[in-house]
Amino acid sequence: MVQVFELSVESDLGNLKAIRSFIKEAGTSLGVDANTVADLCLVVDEAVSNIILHGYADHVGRIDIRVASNRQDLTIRIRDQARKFDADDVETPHLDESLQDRAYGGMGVYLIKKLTDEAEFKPVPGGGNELRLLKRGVVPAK
Amino acid sequence: MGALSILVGQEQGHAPVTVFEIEGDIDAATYTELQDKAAEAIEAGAANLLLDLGQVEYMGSAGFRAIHSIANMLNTEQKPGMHKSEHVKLLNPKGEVARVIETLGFDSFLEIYDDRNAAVASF
Repeated sequence: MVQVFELSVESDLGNLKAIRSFIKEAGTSLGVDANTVADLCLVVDEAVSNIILHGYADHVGRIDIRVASNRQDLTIRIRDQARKFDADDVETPHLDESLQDRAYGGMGVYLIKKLTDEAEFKPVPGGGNELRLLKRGVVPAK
Repeated sequence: MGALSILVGQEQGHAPVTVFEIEGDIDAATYTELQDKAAEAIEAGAANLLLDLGQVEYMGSAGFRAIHSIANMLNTEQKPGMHKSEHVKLLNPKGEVARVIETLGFDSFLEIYDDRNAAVASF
């Protein structure tokens, strides 16, 4: 059985905590273990923060989040109407460099890719972006 | 916003240590509060900063950006190669915060303590 959880919010940094609570409730309802739920909260927080700060930047738009289980897999889809985002433009942080030498930024996209099995960023026809995240085998069999 | 509480204290190790007891979530909405409070303390003369993360339930990359910035504000002398900051250290990171510190490699560059007295004495 496919279970779906949906949330639509304005692009306001003040909504980040509510978004993390939504992901936590959805993941917990699906029986996902606490560490994976914590990772997913982080991943979604990073993605939404990027949309708000760099996508919509100085204007307000909507962000739609959909969490769905498909057998033992969990997918999260995040859609916006913001300017085009290309994850390849974001430089991977050099984690072995000292803090003095290391550039700021890039950690959000790094965490999104590191903590999921798949992270696909793509433009939506007609405008906006979609991020599709996949975690395999994290939903317990019923 | 304003969801972060930062209690500032003073301790004496081998050198004076400013301790930030931080409570709340450090995310993109709140990280500048930490950064600004540190800049204020440094401006007032703080040279060593201990960040107590024991009451921080959540920290995303914005929090690490703030710590990175604070470390660079305090580490003015350039040293070649791998070394840990002598002027900013972390106390009591819990759960997911501790895991993300490792994932982002910050444990290689910041000393992390679970005992406040030991942390203060290390400065």
